[in-house]
Amino acid sequence: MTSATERYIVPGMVCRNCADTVTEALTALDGVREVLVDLDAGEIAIEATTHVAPETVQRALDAVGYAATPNPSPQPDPS
Amino acid sequence: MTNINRTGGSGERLAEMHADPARFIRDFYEGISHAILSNDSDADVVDRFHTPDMVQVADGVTMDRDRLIAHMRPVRKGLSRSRVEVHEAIAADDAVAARLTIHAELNRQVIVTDAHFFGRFAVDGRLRSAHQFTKTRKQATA
Repeated sequence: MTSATERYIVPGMVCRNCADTVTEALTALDGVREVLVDLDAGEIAIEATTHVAPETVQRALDAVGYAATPNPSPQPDPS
Repeated sequence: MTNINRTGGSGERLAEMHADPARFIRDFYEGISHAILSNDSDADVVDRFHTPDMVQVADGVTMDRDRLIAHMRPVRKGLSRSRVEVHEAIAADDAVAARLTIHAELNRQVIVTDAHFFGRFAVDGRLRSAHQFTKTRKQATA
C-alpha cells in the first residue's frame, strides 16, 4: 500500500480540543490514515493512502473553523 | 458582569480585581464567551480583553495576539454556550492566580476543562500575560 504525507500550517489550533476537532475532521476524509498534530508549531501532518487534494483538506478544516496552508517543507528529523 | 473597557486606565479594574478576584476572573472568561457569541469580530474580541503585546502560554503552547485571533474563528464556529466556575482565586499587585472549571458546549460536545491560571492584567483590566495548565476531564455528547 502506498502512502503520502502532506503537511499544513493551521495557526488557529492551540489546544487539545483543537487537535481533536482537526483530527476528527480529517480522518473522515477518504484515504486519510492518521493525523499528526504539533500544537506548539501549529502544524499537522496527514498520512494518507493516496494524495489528498489541498482543497479537500482546506474545505474539511474550514467547516470546523480552521484555516490551513500547505507546508511543503518537512520538519527536521530530531534524531 | 465586570465591564472591561479598553479605554479605562484609572486602575478601577485592578481595584475590582483585588476586591473580588474570583468574580473578576469569572467575568473575564464569561465576557470573552459572551463577546464571541454576540458576533463581535475576532480581533475586537481579542483586543477588548487582551493588550496588544499579550502572551498566553497554555499547556506549553504559546499564543500571541495573531494566534489568538486565529483561534477565535473555530471557537466561534463551535461554541454554543459556556460558563465558568472559579473555585478559588487570589490577587496581588497586577496578578491573579485562580483555579477554575470551564463548562463549554463546543461542536455539540460538552467539554469540561479544569484550569490553573496565573495571569497579569493591565490597569484597564485587559490580560497582559498568562500561564495556564489545563485538563479536560469529561466529554459527552450534548
